[in-house]
Parts: sequence; C-alpha cells; structure tokens
Amino acid sequence: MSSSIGQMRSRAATVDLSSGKVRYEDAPPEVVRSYLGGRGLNVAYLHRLLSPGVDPLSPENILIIGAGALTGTGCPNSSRFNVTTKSPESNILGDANCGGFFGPQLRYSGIDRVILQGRAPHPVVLVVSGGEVRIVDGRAYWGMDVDEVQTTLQRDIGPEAEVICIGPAGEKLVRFACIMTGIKNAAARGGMGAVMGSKNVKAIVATGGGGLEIADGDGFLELSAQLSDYLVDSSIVKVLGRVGTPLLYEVSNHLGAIRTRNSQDSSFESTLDAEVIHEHVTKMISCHSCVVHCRHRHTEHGEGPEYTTIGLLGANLGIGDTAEVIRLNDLVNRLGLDVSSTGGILSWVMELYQRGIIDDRLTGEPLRFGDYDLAVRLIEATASRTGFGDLLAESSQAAERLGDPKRDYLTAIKGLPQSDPHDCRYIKAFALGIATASRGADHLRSRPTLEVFDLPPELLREIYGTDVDRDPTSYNTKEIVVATHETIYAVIDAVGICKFVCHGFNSPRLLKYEHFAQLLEKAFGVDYTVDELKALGQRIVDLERSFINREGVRRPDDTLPRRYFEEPLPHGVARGHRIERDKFFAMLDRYYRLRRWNEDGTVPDGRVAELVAPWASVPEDRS
Amino acid sequence: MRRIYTNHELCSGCRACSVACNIVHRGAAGHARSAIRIVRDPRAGYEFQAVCRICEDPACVAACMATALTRDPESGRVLLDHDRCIGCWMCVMVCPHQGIHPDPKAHKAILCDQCTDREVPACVAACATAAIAFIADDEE
Repeated sequence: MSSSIGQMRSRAATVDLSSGKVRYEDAPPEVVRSYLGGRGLNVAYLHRLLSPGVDPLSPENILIIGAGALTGTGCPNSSRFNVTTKSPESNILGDANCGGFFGPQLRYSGIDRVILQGRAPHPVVLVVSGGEVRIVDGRAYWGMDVDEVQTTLQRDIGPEAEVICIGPAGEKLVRFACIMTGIKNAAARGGMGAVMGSKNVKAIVATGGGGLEIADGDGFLELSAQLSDYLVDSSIVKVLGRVGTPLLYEVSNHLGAIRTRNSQDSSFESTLDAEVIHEHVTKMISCHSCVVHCRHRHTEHGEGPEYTTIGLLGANLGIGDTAEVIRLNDLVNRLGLDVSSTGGILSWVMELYQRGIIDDRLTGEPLRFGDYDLAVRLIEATASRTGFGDLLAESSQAAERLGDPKRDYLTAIKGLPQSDPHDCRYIKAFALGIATASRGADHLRSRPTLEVFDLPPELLREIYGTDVDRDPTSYNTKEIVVATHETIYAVIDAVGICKFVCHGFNSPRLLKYEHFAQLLEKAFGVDYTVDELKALGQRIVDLERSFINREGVRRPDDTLPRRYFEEPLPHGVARGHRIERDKFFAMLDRYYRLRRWNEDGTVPDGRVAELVAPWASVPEDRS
Repeated sequence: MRRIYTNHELCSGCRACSVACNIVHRGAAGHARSAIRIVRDPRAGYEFQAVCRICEDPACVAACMATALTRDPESGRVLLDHDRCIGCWMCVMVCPHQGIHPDPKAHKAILCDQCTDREVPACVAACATAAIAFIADDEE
C-alpha cells in the first residue's frame, strides 16, 4: 500500500482544558492513509488515546471533533464532520456524524480536528481561527439555549462564525444531550453534548477566513459538476429535495412497520405524511455544497421535522397533530436533546405507566400516549433534570429504577435507543444491522433497505459481489448485505459526504468507491484504488469493534429488543413478522465469520495489531 | 454581453458557488476570498447570492477615490485595477447589493470578473439549483 497522502491535510489541535494548553500536530501520514478522516481518523485517535473503563463524564474522557477528508472541498454534499468519544448513554463508542456549515468552516479556519481533554475550571468557548484555538471565558453563554448561544456568538465574534454548541441539556449532563449547529443539525446520538458539557465547553466557534488547497482545481470542479448533474437527475435526489426525509414515513407506515406507541403498534395516522408536513414548509434549503436541499424551513422559521422526528416524537408517542410534532421538533432542538433517544425514552416510560410498572408516585402525574402537553413537560423536565425528568435524563441507565431492569419494553441495543422509526421485525438485514452497529441501535451504520425495492438479481450481484436472497424477510445471505453496507458507510463517513447522495442508503446508483477515489485524486493528488478504499472501510469497522470489545462488548450484546423476537407485527405487509431467535443468531455467526471475527464477537488480536500498526512511529500518549 | 444573473428564490444557500469561485481564483476551497458570497440567516429565513450585478450607474465606481474601479463603456462591466486599489472599502460600503467584498489578506477589494477566461463562470457551473445563470442581456 502506498503511504502517500498527497496534499491531504489532517491538522489536529489537542486542547487540554484542565491546563489551558493547546498542542498542534499533523496526523502521521501512515495513519491518515489508513483512516482518511472524519469517523475513520476520529476512531483511530480515540482507540489510541483512551484507556478502557474510563467514566465517560469524567475529565479522563476525550471528545474528538473531526472533519471528513473531502469536507469543505465543495464537491457534492461534502459538509460532514464526526464527533467521537466514549458515550455516557451506552458506555461504549459514541460517534455522531453531522452536516451543516461547521465542518467546512473548521477546515477554513486551518484546523481539521479538535481533540478535547480534561475539564475546564469554568465554562469556556473555544474559538478556532487562523490555525489556532483560543480558549475564552464562556460563563456569559452558559444557560443559553441552542438558538440564543449561536446568535449571541455570531454577534460577538462575527456573522461568518459557524458554531457547534450544547444547549441546557448538555450543561445538565443529560445522557442523550447532543451537539448542535445551526437550527437543526445535530451530532445527535450517544450523548456527545453531555461529554462536551462535562468538560465545561459551551461552544466551539470556527471563524473561517482561510481555505483548503486543491491540487487540480479545474479537474476537481469539472468532476464535481459532472457528479452534481448526475445526482440532481436521479429520482431519489429529486424527491428528497422536494419533501425531504418525511417521505420515508409513508414507506414504513405502508409496510406496517412504523414504530407506534412504543412499538406496541406498527401503523399510524396519515397526518404525518410528507405532503401534509409540506403544507408547513416555506423553502427547502441545503447544508454546505449540498445538491439535494432536503432541509425544510417551516413557517415558524424553524427547520424540520425529519422522518426520525415524525416517527419518534409523533407516531411512537401517539401524537398525530402535525403542528404539535413540529413544535416538539423545535423544542428538542433548542434544548439540545437527541430526538431519537428523547422519543424512545418517553415512549418507554409511557408504556411502563400503561402497564402499571410505574405510577404517579414516581412520575408525579399520569403518563399517556398522545398527550402533547405532557410530552412538552417531560422534555423540559428532562433537559433541566427536574423531578421525574432527572430519571429520564439517565436514558437506558434508568432501567432498574423504572422497574424494567432487563429493558423488556425499551427499544434499544447496547444501551442506545433505536434511531430509525422503522420497526425492524420485517426486514431481517435491517435487524442484523442495528444489532451489529458499533454505537448501538442505529440505522446509519448500515441501513440495508435496498431490498424492499425488489431489485433485479443482476443488480444485486453487482452491489454485493455475489448472489443474495431478494426476499427482505429471509435471513439467508443477509450477513453479506449488512457487511457490504457497513463498509461503504464507514468510508462515506470518513470522506465527509452525506449519505443521501451515496450508494446504498436509498439507491444503488449514487456515489461509491470509484467516485470517492476520483475526488480524492483531483482534490489532493492522492491515489486510492477501489480495493484500498474497501479495505479502509473494513479497517474502520474493525477498529470500532475493537474499541467496543475493550469496553466489554461480546456476542450477547449483539442482540435485539425483546419485543422484536417475541411479538409479531400487527399490521400491513409486515403483519405476522417477527425475528426468529435461532435464525437471527445463526445469521450473526455467519456475519462474524464473514468479518473474520472470533466466535465471541471479538476482533482477533493479530488483526488489532494490524489496525494500530500505522501509529508505530509515534510514541504512546494515552489518557 | 453575457452576464451572471442570480435568483435568490432558487438559492438553497449551499455556498458551492462561493467555493468554486475561491478554487478558480485562489487555488483553495473556501469562501473568504471569493467574489460571490452567500449571505444567509437561517433564523431570519433568507439566503441570497451577493455578487456584482454590473449596475448601469455603479455606486462603487463613483465612490472609488483611487480610481481603481472603472466602468468599461463597451461591455458595461465594472473593472478593478488591483494596483490602484488602496483597500479603503468605500466601494464595499456603498454597493447596495453587497456585490463587492473586502479581501482582508491582500487588503484589496474583490470583484467578480465574470470568469472571462472560462466558457461558463465557475459559480454558474457549480450551482445545482440553477439559481445562478450566465445569459446574454437579450435572452430570457
């Protein structure tokens, strides 16, 4: 493998918040070559720097904010950055990918990755400018919500400043507080905001002002324009650009697989259909260099709601009023809460109340599905950790105190509530994908849903490199499907491009390895073959697995919520479907063999040694 | 003459135009030194392209004390002589369209040159929503 990284810049600023010292260094070329950037390089740093067993909310944890390799270059949808840490919600890998404008602006400020260590003695704001990070007093901003702190910082520092921040939820260490940028972009999952709050960092501001050198400007722009034209012509990009992700609500609802009232039901009202949502939309807008424009600006000048919000704060809470769901969306965004966990935890306690497992003595009032005012009260109480909200803020870790120690009624894996509002009892590959996802129950690690499109066998063979079973309800060969998606998604997150224009997420015809290789070559003069990029994706998946192995994850953790095994879906196309335990675990075993992992779900020692070998030339520096 | 026209209603605010301009003229992705900027305020609910609109009676030319800005009588384009520009930002202040920008690095004004050396200006080629067009005055 070539060790050349061309002009790829991977400059890291390591901020020791306890001492106030900042250190700058370029990532070693061998490491950049092996992990690229974004999610890949972030986990390379996390795996190297963090000792196992650290309390995620202690100063010993580290929080890494890193832009993708192509982020900010201007090629289609190159806006993304990743935030990576040990999650206080799951106690395993915390890793969240985010769009908006901050990632590019960070790079234009001369830094590609910020690594936070320690804990500041009082609230601070970090300002990234001209290749340096300044720590400034943040006490005046503490207590502000997500909107107010960004507006105030842009007033104080400059209108071009792009900000990532925490809201009140992050300050209160809510275990599913997120990091926000803009009105609705979130590094949402796993409690990134709680870790930032535990470090007393209210916000990071990137002022921009600089640029990112492009090796072959004309060639890069020509390629970008070609890809843009191609993408804009695709039907999925057109429909996403017209109505955004809410279109997926109808797909799941039609299948009878929309999580409803804490997954007790699987079909909900049409008041949350994309066209109904769209009546509240004034304009569709974009993240940085995005050709899709899937973000809704709605009539109240907020943004959203996305499919996840509609599903988890709508159907899953039994709330069908469109305007109410939009208001809940705006509320969680302003408070800085992860919408997926918020919906998952609220619906969980509503069912526990319905079943008499908890009562007014704990909750202080009746908890009923479909009650918008109650949802508002619970969300506000969670963000401020007041009353019953203090318990909700513990997420899945509240299980024992809620009388559901085995989390029988919580749709979560590895302690992380499931993100996608899609009920996974129907599409078996989807179920395997959330069971093996490195950060817990999350669809953005694989989301293998191409199967529902009934694609011709030749196309499936082209996508998966071998014949796979076309039936989405079959367990056969689905380990191949999941692994294929996981690997390319890891590369997508490492280059920093949005999945909506990439192969596999909603279409088999969008950007894939060869396009990433071409873009990297034109942008930075760096050569990757398709096979090298695939190997890089496998490396990221394996390193993340090694990280969670170190934190104790084994085969018994790669399972599904009890309900998915035991209760058949009640409605629609999916009616009668559930996950059969023996077939699921046989599929899981095949998945391990395909990944070349041990039978207990660990990565073999020899492979781990290979994964960390690129650091060989650098002295160890572990927290 | 063909010139750049913008339509803010079609602009999704993505800044691809700005980055492309920066790459072509500065060799680097970014927007701080590009001639076309996206002015956006997601909370107020707007985004528009700020670029020279080639006014018939350009305020920037009238305001330029250094005579660095002139209007080409033949094409109507506003031309910037970098050697003469003293970075006083009078042009920046008087332009009603935010179409001329300060370059803090070179301490000179930045003005769109309509990419005269290219078939299609870089910003136009980069726009995925056709919110920027390069058309002749007599074309619709």
